[in-house]
Amino acid sequence: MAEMFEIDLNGKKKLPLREVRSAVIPAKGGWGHPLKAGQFIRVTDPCGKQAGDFWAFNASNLDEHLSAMHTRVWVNKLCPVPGESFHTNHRRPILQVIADTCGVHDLLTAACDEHRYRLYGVQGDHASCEGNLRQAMKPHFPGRMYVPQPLNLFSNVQVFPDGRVLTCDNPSKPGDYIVLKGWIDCIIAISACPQEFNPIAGWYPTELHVSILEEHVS
Amino acid sequence: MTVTEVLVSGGFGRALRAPGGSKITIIDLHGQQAGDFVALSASDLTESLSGAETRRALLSLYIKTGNLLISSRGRPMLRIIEDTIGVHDYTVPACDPSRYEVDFGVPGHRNCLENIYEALKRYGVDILEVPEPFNLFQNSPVTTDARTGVVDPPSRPGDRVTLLTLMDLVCALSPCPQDIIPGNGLVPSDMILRVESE
Repeated sequence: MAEMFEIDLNGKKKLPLREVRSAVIPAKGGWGHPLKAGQFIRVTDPCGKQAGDFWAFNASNLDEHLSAMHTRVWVNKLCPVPGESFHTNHRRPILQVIADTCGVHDLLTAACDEHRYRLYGVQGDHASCEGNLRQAMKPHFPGRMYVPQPLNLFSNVQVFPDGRVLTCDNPSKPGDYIVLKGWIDCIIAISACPQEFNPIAGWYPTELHVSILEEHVS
Repeated sequence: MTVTEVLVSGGFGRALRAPGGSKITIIDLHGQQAGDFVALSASDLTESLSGAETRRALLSLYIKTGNLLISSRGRPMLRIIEDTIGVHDYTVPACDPSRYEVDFGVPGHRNCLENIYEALKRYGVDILEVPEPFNLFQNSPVTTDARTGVVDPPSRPGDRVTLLTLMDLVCALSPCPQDIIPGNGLVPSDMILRVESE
């Protein structure tokens, strides 16, 4: 039987949701899947303190994608809150925040990539969010792909009054989740961040859970 | 006494007949919800509740208890007899398809103009005849430099407005479907439209 899930919408009404698909994204791994307009995606941090790099592309035009910079200027803040939407580089909404138990996400920093780990002195292969994105998008976009700036779920990047921007301790608690609703048909890609050299993933990368949900009409 | 009451789903529209001398009550069930409201004379649908005529009569951008609301022919159509909130707008047009398609890049979004048209077409109203609405509970402050805007309403669950009808009317309500920018607490929610007549 499909899992049921109810969301309180800003205290105004209850939204019953039914899970239609779920997946475990293994620690340091990636996942990609279509999300139809009107469907919901829930990303859960089951162990706590785990960052998830998140991308959303227009399913019919991968040149259009969730854009950190277009979103910040639309909502006039560093990251949307429930009710507000992430916007694309074509300046239209792509995903609406429906629920968010953590409340801390980052729209300022790049995905980790092989170059980042070279700078740490890693000589051999090291998983990266950019690599996970490319892998996850292969079935949907086999060619070479531009990597937009991600939405870093559960990532605590703070801006200080003196202008410093620092990666701080990850605040998410076991079971924290965010639920987003698709405005348009999307391809979603998520990377369970493999970064163990800073606190973005709590110094110890763990798995993420993801569900695709639909509104339950009883 | 006859009471007709409909639950109007957030983001959709409903219409009711309201004979002269009846009371129309609009209730914001969950708070922070703007409701676009129109009224037309049941005997002549070309006469409708008019923001422009009402502004000329009231010489105010805001309406309050006791005010007469005026028709497009300059006749009193409704009187506000109860208002628990006192924050309403009657200067901003209904959201329409172009508002969402052009301004937000979202074609096909529900909108107050088509909601009201869908509710009124069985009375014989064409979409071009949908009058400008009175946006109950909508919060459109005028700031000191004479600019205006629309922000979330301060209404709380159960806030209500009651209007006394001064002629036979058809009225319609659309709890606004705006969920991209503030105006409804970003969550369109349900309202009650009730008509009580002797």
